[in-house]
Amino acid sequence: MATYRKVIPVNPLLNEKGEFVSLKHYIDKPIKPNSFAHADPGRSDYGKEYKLSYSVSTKLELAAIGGVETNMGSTTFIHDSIIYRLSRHPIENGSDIIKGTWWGYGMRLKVTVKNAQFGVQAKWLSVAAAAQLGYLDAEFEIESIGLADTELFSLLPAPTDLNLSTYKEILAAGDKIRAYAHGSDPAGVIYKPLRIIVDLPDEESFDPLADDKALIFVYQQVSDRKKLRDARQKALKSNINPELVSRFYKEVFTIVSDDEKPSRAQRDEAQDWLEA
Amino acid sequence: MATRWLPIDEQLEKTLQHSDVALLTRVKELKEEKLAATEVEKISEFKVYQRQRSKKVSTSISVSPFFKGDGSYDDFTYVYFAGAFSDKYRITQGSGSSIIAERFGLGIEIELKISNIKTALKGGFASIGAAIDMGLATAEYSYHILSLPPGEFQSLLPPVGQFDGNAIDNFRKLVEKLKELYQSSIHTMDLVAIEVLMADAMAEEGTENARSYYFAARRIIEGKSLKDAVSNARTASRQYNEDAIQYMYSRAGLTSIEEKPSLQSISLAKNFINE
Repeated sequence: MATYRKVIPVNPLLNEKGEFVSLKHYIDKPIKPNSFAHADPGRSDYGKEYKLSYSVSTKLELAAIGGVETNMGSTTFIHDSIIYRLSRHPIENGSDIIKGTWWGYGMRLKVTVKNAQFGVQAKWLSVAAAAQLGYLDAEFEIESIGLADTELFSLLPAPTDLNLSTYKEILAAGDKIRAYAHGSDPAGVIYKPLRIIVDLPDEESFDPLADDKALIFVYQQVSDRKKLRDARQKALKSNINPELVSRFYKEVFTIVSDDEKPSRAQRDEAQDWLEA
Repeated sequence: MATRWLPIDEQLEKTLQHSDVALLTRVKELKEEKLAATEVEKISEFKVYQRQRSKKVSTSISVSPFFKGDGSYDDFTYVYFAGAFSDKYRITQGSGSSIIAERFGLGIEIELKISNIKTALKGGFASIGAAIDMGLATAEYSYHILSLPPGEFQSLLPPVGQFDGNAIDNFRKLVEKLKELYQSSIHTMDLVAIEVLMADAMAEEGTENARSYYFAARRIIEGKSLKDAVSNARTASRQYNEDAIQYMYSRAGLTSIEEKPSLQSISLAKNFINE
């Protein structure tokens, strides 16, 4: 599968061993950030709007940031505005997933769109208008990360309807926090791992429904009482990963041997499943 | 698979009652715990959020609102939080527990629950307030001030039993006042446990929706609109996830609920179910 390199937002929380907590369940190996002690001395300034949704984001992206609604009807927009220092220092005993870490502080604004009316495409600028017209529900969250000044408290918006004017206020609160972070030397700054550099599968080849498609395929094969060997061969022609076929033969029908033919009862079960 | 910070509140306790009793005990302990101002690591994060929960959407079999006000909501809840957190997380030790980290801070949480909705609510507090005033919906609220700041704010608390369309405005004033009070004494205040980071079991991505995708693909191949597919699903003997059905329709290139699938949509659906 083709991959490309991407910088993705991550939940900055590390456990006592210095591993990303949000990625603990993603993969068995511990995932650590590149060390801050070896980060480049120069500070960089970065702002990026980023869209996450079940249909376009990989599991790694969804796991890294955490707290993102992963049902099909939701989209999360993340605006990171951070001052950061890059570390590419090799990670000892870590996995090779992370190619670099951005240590920084700043502001993270999340807007989550839920329950959008079918066919309404959510975009940053149109979220408020769509919410006001009742086409979708919108939620917001603003976090200032690594900044200690209590002055920031007064910038947090009060409970509000998300409509065109309040949305501007919320974005403006974000701007103020950003302006604050960009000051020459904000007091009590703490650098946190905010973004990581990873290789992700090409958007073209990424399919969030690959597993579902393979499972449907397996039910179809079992309903024809196809042996695992034959099913795997057919899968290759249909562009389905044969490993997934083996997995579902085992998980659903406890068939592990290449030559075992699904029983009549299993055929009936599969036919029943495909009754739709 | 994913993780998320969840507020320590009734909702969390309710969820845990059915899933993880050990964790529930821990959460109850946490509610009693406090970090004295002298032990507090510095405050390093400020956070504000406003979320909406609707009862049906939070379950795995989800009923989607295809057009707002189609009656698919019975009730929903707004949750607002503004607060600050200490830099120190407490990582929970031991296995078998799904709490990963505990977090201390201060702030205010407001929950507004709207139920018995008898009208189409087109979003927005103004329309909700109006519906409540006219008896077309009922509302309950709760507020929770986590770590009390010194100073006067009691006069801004909403009067007991008098929730109406003005309540949101009142809450807004309360929040502004509390922010002021917190700001002036943040470094001398005790912190309380506010959130726990948990593995997000509800968001587990498995293949539980495969059958709903299959169902949707079949309906597309039959040339049915999304609206018809959904009404088929609602009367079927099996339960289907309407979000999944909707997603399959949009994946096949359909953009409105009444639209009939084109030949190209049908061929995309056929490809998905290997036909």
